[in-house]
Amino acid sequence: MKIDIHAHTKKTKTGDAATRNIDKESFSNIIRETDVKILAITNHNHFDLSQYNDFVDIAGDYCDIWPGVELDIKEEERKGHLIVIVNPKESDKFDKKLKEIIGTNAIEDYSINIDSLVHELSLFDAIYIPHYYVKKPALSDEDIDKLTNLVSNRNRVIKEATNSISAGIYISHGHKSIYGTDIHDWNEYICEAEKLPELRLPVESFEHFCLLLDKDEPTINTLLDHKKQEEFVLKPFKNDDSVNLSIYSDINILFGSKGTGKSDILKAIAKQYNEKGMSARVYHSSEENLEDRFDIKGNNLVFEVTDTGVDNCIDEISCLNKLKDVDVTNLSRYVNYYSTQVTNRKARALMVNKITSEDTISVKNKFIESDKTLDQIINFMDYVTESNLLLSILDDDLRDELNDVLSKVIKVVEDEKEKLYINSVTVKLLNQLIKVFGDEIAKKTGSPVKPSSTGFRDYTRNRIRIECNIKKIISSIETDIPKLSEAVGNLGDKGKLDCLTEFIIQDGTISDGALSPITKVKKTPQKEFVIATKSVFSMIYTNKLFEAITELNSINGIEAIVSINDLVLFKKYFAINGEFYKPSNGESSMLLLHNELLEEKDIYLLDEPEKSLGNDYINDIIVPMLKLRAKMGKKLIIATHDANIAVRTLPYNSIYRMHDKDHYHTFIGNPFTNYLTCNESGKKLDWKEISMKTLEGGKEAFGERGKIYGDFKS
Amino acid sequence: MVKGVKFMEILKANIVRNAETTKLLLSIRDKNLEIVLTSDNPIVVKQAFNELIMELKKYEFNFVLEDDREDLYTLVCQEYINQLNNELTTIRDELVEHGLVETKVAEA
Repeated sequence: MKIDIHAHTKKTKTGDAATRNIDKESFSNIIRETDVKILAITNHNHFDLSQYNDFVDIAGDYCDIWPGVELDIKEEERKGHLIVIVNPKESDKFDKKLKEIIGTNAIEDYSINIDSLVHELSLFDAIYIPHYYVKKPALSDEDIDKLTNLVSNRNRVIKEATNSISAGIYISHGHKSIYGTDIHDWNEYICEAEKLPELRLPVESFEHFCLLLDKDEPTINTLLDHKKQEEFVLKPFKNDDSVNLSIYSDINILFGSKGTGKSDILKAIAKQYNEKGMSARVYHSSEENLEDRFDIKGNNLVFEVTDTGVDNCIDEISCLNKLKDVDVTNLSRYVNYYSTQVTNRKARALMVNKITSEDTISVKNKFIESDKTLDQIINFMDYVTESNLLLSILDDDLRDELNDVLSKVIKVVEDEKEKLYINSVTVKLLNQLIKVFGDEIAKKTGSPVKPSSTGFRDYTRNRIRIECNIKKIISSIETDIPKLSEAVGNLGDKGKLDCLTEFIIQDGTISDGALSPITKVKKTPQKEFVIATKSVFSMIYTNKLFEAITELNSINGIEAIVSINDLVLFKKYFAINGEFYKPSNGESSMLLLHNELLEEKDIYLLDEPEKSLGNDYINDIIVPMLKLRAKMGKKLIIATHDANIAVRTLPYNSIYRMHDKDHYHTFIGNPFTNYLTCNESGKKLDWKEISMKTLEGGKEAFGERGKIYGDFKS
Repeated sequence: MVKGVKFMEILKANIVRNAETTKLLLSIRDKNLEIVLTSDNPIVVKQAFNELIMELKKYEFNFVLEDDREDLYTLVCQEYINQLNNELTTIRDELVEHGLVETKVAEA
């Protein structure tokens, strides 16, 4: 939830933009588009009770609206602005009081001094927010001190900054600070609201907010208790020392000097979660490697060409090993047959000896094809009768017509199949008859048998089979396989980093050293196999075919090539816009952490996530991501030495590990109470001081940096 | 062209009789293929078959024997051509079936 302590709803001074005016409907619509759940109306020297009530009526269910005013303060010749916000319960009284103190003065020229103001509002439950430093017109330190001393509760004075950066600096230096939109144009409010401060603890009312300003411990603990928490008793170390912890469904920071056992505690937490059946693993930025994470070496790469629609050609490749030439019929057999006179009278009378045998394969193939066709039609008919969808779509007449047509077709194909079967058997029997009679005549008369074929048919069929097989292999080899692209992350101005995997089937020309085989087959036999296969292809209809086949089968390691998959090469690499890119160590760490946080899980255990990362990246990307995960109720347990992570995330839970001469201690607390309490002794430490010492190098170093930064006015 | 009607070229086959060898000469479009009848040479026959396959991929054809004598070689060649023609027809069909025939690009 966001809070806006400085919102104008009316143009009250001549210098105010007219776009500060907003009607109640527009206000309600705009505010509902934002995450602003608390808004104070603070117009210049003016409070409009009627407008306030209208706004509460229309938008109060979504956003808590507080009454307030931005007053011109004049102390001697010094001028500044001061925002006063009062308890909404006192809005009517506040309206009367303002009318009374401003009286008939022109809004434009009205101003009041600090003494009078505090006196007039002494009975109000109010918060005072003076413009400070670069927020102009600002009250001087002296005037703010005066205000702080005059009000009954000094915690109710908060300095107004211009933005989150200056507020952060003031807070770091021990000043209570906040900022609002100071909206000039309501058309830009949704965008401006994005920059407003986030309330880490759920504030339910004005009184609640004031208690938080007082750092009221019971209030804070009650709020913290709203968050789900789990109790852990860990034994993370070799000795029997135990560590008792509460882990919130939010950000839990584990900090302390090096060697205080933070990593062991994280491991022990992961172990306990895993034992409970909840998946948890510790992310160690130092141990993670982007190349391993994306398996750049492809050690675990699983790839099947068939998954990309490429035929694996297992049968065709296996066939290449078993090829044999087919002999042709010698012409001498014809010459012998016709030159030998058959003298036997009965043998000469046998007409069967003059019949030429027929081709059995083509008739058999036709029968097989008719059989397959019939099967397909029957299957379709089964589908038609069994498909509920078709039954529901087709009306009875159409369905009967379709069944009728299909039945007729089946009958015709069945008849044809029968004919082809008879034909196939007839040819087979005829050929047997011719052979038996020819052999018998030859035996009885001593004359040779007439050749039944020139051998052209079988010779050619063998070559056709080889051509078809190799064509299929080459067609698979020449298929382009699309690259696989996996998003790695964003490298800002450089662009988006992808992990690309290229798959290339060796086509006999590839010799890129960066490519590796996908299977165990080595690159040399892969290449030689393809070159030799292509050579076989070019020689199919020559007498050198079997020389080429012998050469192919003599390749060293060819026995390992059994499918097209064995010819696949791959390379995996990182790329920006398709161009190779090697991310630096810092970029790798950045992307790994980013991806870790993008992963959808319930428990994030991060060990020094800041390693190798720039502060700007931690601030701008990682801290918001951590906050977002926390907002989603995830558990984030982070061992860190980074102040941005440990402090700027405003963790619900800070676990501080320290050791003295002979013992390790665990302190638990949070930035809201500003305490860290020791589990065993009950001893209390100041959260801010310890954070400063451990994370910022001590108060002095921090102060020195603060002074230097303080010189840069934003 | 009527759909489904096959066009078959008829090519000539002749017998060349010499003192040393007698050959069957198969004339395809741009060359003559020789099959020696008086001795066995499977390599030469296979080479002739290879040429026939390449030709058969271009168009369908059969041979007709043109020979005015009636001797042993006429009988041998007539039988050989008969069988070869049957086989050429079967194989042409199979080449078509396997999509291995060369398709002519229609002239504009």
